[in-house]
Amino acid sequence: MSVADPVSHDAHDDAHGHGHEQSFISKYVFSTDHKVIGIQFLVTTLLMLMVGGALALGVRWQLAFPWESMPLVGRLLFSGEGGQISPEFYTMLFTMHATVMIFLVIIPILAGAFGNFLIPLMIGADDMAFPVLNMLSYWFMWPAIVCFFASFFCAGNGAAAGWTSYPVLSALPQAAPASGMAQNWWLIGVTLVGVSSMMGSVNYMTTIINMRAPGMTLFRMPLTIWAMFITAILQAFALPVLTAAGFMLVADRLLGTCFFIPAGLVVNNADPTVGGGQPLLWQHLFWFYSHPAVYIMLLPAMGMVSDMLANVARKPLFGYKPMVYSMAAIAGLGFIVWGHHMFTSGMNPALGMTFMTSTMMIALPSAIKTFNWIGTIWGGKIEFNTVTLNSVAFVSMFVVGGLSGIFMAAVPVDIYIHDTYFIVAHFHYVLFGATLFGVFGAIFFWYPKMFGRKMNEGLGRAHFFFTFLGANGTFFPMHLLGVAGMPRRYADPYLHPYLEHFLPMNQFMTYSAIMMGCAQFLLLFNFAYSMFYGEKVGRNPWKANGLEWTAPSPPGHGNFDVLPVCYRGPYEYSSPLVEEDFLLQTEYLPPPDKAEPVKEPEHA
Amino acid sequence: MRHSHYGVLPVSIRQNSNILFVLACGFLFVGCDAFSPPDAVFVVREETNQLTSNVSNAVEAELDNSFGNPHQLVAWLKLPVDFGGVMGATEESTLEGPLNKFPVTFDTEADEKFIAQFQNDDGDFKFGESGARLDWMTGEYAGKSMQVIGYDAETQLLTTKEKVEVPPAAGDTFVLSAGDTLKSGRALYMEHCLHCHGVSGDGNGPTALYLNPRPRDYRLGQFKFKSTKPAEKVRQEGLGRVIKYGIPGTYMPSFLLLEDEELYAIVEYVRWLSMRGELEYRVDQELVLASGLTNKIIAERKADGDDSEEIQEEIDEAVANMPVLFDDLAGQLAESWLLAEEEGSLIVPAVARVEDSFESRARGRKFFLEKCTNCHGHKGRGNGSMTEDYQKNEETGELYAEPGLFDIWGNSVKPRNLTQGVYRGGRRPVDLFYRLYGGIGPSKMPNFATTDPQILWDTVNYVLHVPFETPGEYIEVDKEYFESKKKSGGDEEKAADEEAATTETKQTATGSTESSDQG
Amino acid sequence: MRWFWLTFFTVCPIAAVVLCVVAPGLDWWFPGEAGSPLGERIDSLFYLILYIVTGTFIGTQIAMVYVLWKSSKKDDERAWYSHGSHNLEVIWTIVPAGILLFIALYQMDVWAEFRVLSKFPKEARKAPVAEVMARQFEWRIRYPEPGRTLQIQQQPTDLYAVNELIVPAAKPVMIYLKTQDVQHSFFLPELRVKQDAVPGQIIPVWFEATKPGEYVLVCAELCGWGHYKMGARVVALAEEQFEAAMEKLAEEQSDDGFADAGESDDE
Repeated sequence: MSVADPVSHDAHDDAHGHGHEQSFISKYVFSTDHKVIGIQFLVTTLLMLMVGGALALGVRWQLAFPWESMPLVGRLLFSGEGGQISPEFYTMLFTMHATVMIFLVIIPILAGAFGNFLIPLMIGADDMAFPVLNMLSYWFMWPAIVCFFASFFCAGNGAAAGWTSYPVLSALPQAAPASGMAQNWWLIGVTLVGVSSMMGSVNYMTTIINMRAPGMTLFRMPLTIWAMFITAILQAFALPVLTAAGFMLVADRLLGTCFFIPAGLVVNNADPTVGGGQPLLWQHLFWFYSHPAVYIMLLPAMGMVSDMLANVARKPLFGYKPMVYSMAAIAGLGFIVWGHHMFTSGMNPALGMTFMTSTMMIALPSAIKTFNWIGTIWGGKIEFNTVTLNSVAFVSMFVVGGLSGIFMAAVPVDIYIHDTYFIVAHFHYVLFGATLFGVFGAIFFWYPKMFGRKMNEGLGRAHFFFTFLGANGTFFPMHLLGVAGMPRRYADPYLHPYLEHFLPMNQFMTYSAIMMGCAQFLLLFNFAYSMFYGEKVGRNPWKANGLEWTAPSPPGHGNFDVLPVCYRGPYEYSSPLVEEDFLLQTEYLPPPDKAEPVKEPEHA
Repeated sequence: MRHSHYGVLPVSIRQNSNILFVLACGFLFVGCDAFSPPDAVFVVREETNQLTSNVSNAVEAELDNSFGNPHQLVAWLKLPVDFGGVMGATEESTLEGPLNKFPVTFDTEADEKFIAQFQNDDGDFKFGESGARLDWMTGEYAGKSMQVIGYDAETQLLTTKEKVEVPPAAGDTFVLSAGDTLKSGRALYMEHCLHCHGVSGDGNGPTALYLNPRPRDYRLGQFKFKSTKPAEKVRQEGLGRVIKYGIPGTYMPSFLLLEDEELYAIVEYVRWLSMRGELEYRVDQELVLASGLTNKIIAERKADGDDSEEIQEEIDEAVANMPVLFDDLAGQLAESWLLAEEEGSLIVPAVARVEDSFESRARGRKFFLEKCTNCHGHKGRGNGSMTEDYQKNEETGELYAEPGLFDIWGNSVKPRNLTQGVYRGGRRPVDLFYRLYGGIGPSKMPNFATTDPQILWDTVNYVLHVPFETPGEYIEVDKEYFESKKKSGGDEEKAADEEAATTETKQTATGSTESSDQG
Repeated sequence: MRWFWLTFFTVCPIAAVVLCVVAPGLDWWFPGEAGSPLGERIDSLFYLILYIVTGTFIGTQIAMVYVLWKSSKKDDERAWYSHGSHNLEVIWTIVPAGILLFIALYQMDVWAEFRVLSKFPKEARKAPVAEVMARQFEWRIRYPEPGRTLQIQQQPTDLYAVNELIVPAAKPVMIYLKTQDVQHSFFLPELRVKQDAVPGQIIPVWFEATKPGEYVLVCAELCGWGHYKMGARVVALAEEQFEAAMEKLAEEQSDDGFADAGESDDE
């Protein structure tokens, strides 16, 4: 492998160059090194991805083979009923699927894993601004995991009020079978995840503002860093609202307050409730966080895909500044669109119109980004490796997810499709289709930096192939189910005659989902296998421009051999100034002779 | 750059990633359904388990024999359950030789049902791939079954899959699709009812744990809301009504959208489960109370020095006698269920409803004060003095650990809060009349079968009006009632009652008609 | 592998579009034509968006496959060194913005008619047909006695039903929607109506069934373990039949078991 190694240091001798001797525990477990923390986050979230996926397969099983014995679970928990799961077990399955996927996979894999690993490397810092805080942000995720998993062992086998936990269902212990202790654990878990994210986001903001290498101006930052920065701001502003709402709900449940419980409700034949609360308050607070959270779950992937696409296309990013501005616009608008989750909730109809307009407007920056990504590939030199495939899949799936969002943004149409499978299709296209494909690409792209080895291409392509087919096979038909009016969260939709004929389609979706689930073993296997048997690479296997590629692979403690100095933006691929098709941000070029200005070559 | 060693993979795989690709495909299409589903089971009563093992095994075997298991139901014709199927008989035939067609007639009523079941819109008959099952009851083929694959409504010729040398003689009777109703009842029960009521109807499905009140345990053969006289069983139509309209104030929802046949099938299945449970219960009672064949009693007897051979003999006798015991008790059961369907068991008010007027309601109020306040409270809020007292468990003779009332299943029951306007057994006047006349035996609400029906109607009028009572509406009535009580030697307690009643009247809430003034 | 992946990224979007085109024919589409005038307008808005979106989808996918095809050619040319185009950015900002704003403004009317109380049809507002109270897991209905108007407070003369809402057909009707326990959602797929029932609120909802017939009523907001069980029906009847049905209900409601003694009361 003869990768050009632009920084002419030996790649192998400095793994411990800057480090002092550390015990195993402080080096790999309670490490304050951002790279170790990032990898810890990555491994944890990949495992959680499997847990969340298993829960999803449970949901799919029930939808394809309603009331038939569920493998494993049926034998373990419902043997007396012939393996037939109970309906509240089903509600638990989808609640915990969403919880695990959102709070333990997507948010931590983007901000926690890639944010941690990439931010200092890409801006040329030796570590995060607050390394200990950083370590805590990882270790606060574990109590959250424990809390979520504790809820599995409470009555009802887990929280079952949906991941949105709308009161009164989630506020009164008698409202749902699993709303007893399980719901309390769930709320505490969410709060802890929030603490973890908050620590991370404070850290990212500080690091990005204060610790950039010399010459790394804001507009020379890679889009990944911009995305992480904006995400951190979103988190810092939105999370306190969720935490407050969570505490209020816990107080309603445990201290007898009634923020969310109105008077006179008779639930499960108990005495009528007293109080003067408003359930809609929770929805406002929850979505005030959770809508920005949707972008927290998307922006970093957008940033990473921008970097990867420019790299694989060997071309400068098309419209760098519009990309930055549109991300900022998404973040800004993201705070004033939460109401579109509540169009049918009975809030003031005038608000519906306002939120519709702002929601329509938030589609605009997304559209701009999509066009720019296509523009980036336009005229590039592309090769279909795993990174390319996943990045292209990201754009392609994001287009579907974005376009289906327009239906929901339009209030009258949303009257019909709200809370149907159309919504499920939409957010799976965005969260799975876009974010996770971005993440898969990013894993392949930055893996060499993490472990000094490349992941296996064949396995990577196989993983992509099956995941892409599986994802589309699972999620695309959901649009049709939604148009047919199949509501979400139904354990047995076929009870209703107008949905009976969708059983075969659901079975097809389940087969697709099983294929997709199995395909993830390829990723895990590849991840573990390549750590030991992958092709060894040097500092810059992708011939990329960013600062991180000037550090050794894997970088030692303190990251860089010499303090990097940044001379240009990160996307100077195929620059006419140099012979190679990439130009490192750190490479100093003498100013060109003024008599012979470099002409931009015409596009062929 | 230096390559590291690749480990154990063969060279060709290392070099050609496409082979890994192919391997990966293979791996994905390996089926992952290695987990066979467990079988649903009918649970066995606690009492059965306490019997000494030989006897309890015999009980279980006999139950299995008479009722089967959830996968293989047995239609025990002794029970008055419509298991489904159409009865018919063969006609005189002129056809000869090995044949698979014979003319038949069905029971007149069944005929239509049969045709409706199998005939599609074009008038063709569809029996599915394997055909419908035909069981011969009498004649040459009695006890044998055949597969019916066709029927011609005009010539009345039935076609079977098998050819027979000797045609069945005219007048041989058969059943077609026996057990269909029970089977479809089971399928529907598994889909709609099992989560709460459990596979065996023990009210202990996976969801039941959280419900208040607990779902009905059918296995005592007792139901709360029925239209029959106090001692009688529930009628089919009564169960059907409950399933169709639900029980407000409980988790029992309405299954209005089920087709009539589906509803019927569920009712029959529930009745069958109920009979199965009750039979087991009665057998246990017999074996425990009369014969004393529990592990505990036997151990005590042995400890007292009883001859173990003698005990063994008793056990053997009980085991040998099991089919007879089942048969006897099933006979009694069948009788009582049949009786409930008879005209005479239905409660029919002797007089029409008394017109709803203040006078009528005042009379009802008086009756209410006399009979109902101990449980339902003076204002009908379901908070009478009995709900605060410790009650005696009739079976064990001990006091319950918790204050309040308990039903025969040992669950705590709350007397209805009448101000809420929620009537579990239905809100038609006749439904309330049923409640008063027949009582609610299982939860120990007494019946007033011997009371003047006029008074019962007055009380119905009063109860229906409780949610709309204006403050102090009955203050005069109450006064009069308590004064007359005092005169007729009322004691101190009654006076205290009166005081309680008047204070309550003064602070009357205007009905608890929800919080509908909000929003 | 180049052709394989190019084909892959071409075939998948084509399959998606083809699926959508054949879906209505296979009955994988709306549950029948919209049964209400407002529903028809919602449908036409849906189709409007669908056409715009499909156009955009096809356009972006073609562009994507085209640039992939162009840029994956094996030749010795360098990639195009370009940082973007200001003009293009302006175009693809303004055009989508215009389209999106148009969609947003175009929808306002229908929304207002559906939800703004003052825009409700007057006749419907004057006489609400029934109060629909959702509870775990059924719909409890309260009608006024024939000849009276529905009051927010329960009345002694009110009529009750469960899981079956009877309304007059071919005229706008209004109901009061409330819930006894947790949040539910009143969803009539065929009439394209959906409104959450929020604890502590009484929400007026109006709809109009153009033709007499039975319509599905389901719950569309997670309300607990039995969420999927909350199936009911709305029965739209011609005016006279509606009145007759109400009379019949009133009669059943006052059944004292005396007059029809002996008859089957399995109804």
